[in-house]
Amino acid sequence: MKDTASQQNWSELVFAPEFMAAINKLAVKRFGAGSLAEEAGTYVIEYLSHDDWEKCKAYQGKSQTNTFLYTLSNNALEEFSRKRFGRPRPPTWLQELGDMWIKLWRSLCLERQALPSLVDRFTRRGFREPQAVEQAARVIKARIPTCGQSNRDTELADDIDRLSDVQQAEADHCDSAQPEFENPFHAELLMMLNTICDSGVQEADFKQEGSARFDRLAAKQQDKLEKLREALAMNDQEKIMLRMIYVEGLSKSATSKALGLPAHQAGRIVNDALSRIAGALQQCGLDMQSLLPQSEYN
Amino acid sequence: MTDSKDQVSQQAQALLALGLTREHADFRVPADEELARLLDPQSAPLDDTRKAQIMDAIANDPATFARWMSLVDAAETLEIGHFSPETVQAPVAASKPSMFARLGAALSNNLRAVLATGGATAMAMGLAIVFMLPVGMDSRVSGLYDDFGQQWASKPEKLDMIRGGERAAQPLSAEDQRLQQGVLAGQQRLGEEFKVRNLNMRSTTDTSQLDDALSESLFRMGQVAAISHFKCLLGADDTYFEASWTLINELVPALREADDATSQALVKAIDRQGSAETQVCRVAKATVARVTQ
Repeated sequence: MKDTASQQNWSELVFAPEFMAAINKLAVKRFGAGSLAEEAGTYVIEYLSHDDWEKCKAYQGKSQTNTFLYTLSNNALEEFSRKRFGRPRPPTWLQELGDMWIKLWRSLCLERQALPSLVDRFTRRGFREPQAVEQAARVIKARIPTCGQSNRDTELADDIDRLSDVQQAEADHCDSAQPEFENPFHAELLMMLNTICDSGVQEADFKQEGSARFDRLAAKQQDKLEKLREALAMNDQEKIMLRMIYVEGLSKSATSKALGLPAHQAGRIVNDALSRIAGALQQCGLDMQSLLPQSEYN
Repeated sequence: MTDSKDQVSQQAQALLALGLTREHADFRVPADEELARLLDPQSAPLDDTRKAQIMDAIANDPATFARWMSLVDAAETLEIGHFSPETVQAPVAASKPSMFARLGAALSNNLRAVLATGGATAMAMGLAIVFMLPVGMDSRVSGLYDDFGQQWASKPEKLDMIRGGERAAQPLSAEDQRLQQGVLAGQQRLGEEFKVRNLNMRSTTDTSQLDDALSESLFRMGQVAAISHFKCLLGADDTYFEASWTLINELVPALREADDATSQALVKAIDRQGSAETQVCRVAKATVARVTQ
């Protein structure tokens, strides 16, 4: 049985040199080295110690104490970012893509961090493939033309809560292009499929005129796509791995590690799933060339 | 094709499959501590049922997936949990719960309603389907392949000599077509050297009108039948047959409620008596015979 919240000396745990170093590491990874990371680190301590360690006392003993504290710290850093740079929710299409996309959007569009340093931080120790991060940034910038455009000097603000409300109002205007489709599900899917696989993606691809071809393509292939959906069979582990590797851009070995599997295992499972997906495509009379008219695939 | 083209092709296939199979169900959203526990080999392991529920949420709920990835990112940054340099990854067999553990956990849950939609919230406009399926059947059928798909009593060089039943060429009914899709998926899962002779997908009967619970049960039955077909021909121990028989019985309720010829034939085969091996092999034979031409 783990120690419960009341038995912990939270002050001692949090102010231990190892934990302080860990907070610093997380803050630098999130915001880059500099005053912003220092500010974020301070915010994490305030967050954890607020109201006599109230958040820490929610600990239920389901994980190790340190793991729990790291999780809280991670949440605190995101809260800091929201308070510092505004609370707009990412566009829905972006939320569907996952954490790397959301963090990249926040870092690029709200925090206005430089892409090269972001790529460097996101891909450290081979955790992610640089091309995946660069491509995601291209798609975000193309689909959200106002990304990162603000004259407000956020660094001068001293009241982060007040600032967040102002930024909220400002950011509400930073909407992403949302073409109107007659066949929204398949057309949106095909459009994102193409843009994510196309290194030449640009703003015009998401305008109504540019995106209309995906509506036509979706209408043409709708029956086959529906058949494909029925023929596809993937278990939860396969879905998670495919998303981690091909959407989040993680390396296969990092994916294996995250799931506690031997290094080669994710590659084997993913190859097996891809082979079945290819079989299902063939079975439904579909080929990727007909679905990816824009990409380097052709 | 260049490596780059291969990568684009693989990425495109993965994205397409993920987009098309996105499900939106009612998840019991995992707490941060539970997600963190998945990443920490030193924490007590989650029980199998809860772990399956959490994996389900990570796989199908974008918000849970984003939280999971955020923790993975933090664990990698701090080199803790599975990312600790001291962590030695356990072999697959040792890291997975036994088949019996998974089956036991699943049996305690039995049926639930799963609300699934055909696409992401931003994209999906309609296509809502409700179906009843045993909890985690997807992952447990997959577990059958994970646990037993690499273990063979004997492995002839030409497994494509192993054949299913003979049947005059004719269009398959929608039910048989769905069964065949399951057998094909199972066969592909086993690898290229496993081929059920005369199993092809020439028939293009529309299966979209099938009741969702029946459609899923037929598909899973096909998957169980595919691996069982080869296990029965090549030999397997009792553990395999007992595990398969349990899964087959969980698929029966939807078949009993249906009145089509396929479901009735399968129920008839399932209701006959015998050892687990005899029963599994009988059902596999009946299934394969229906879908080979």
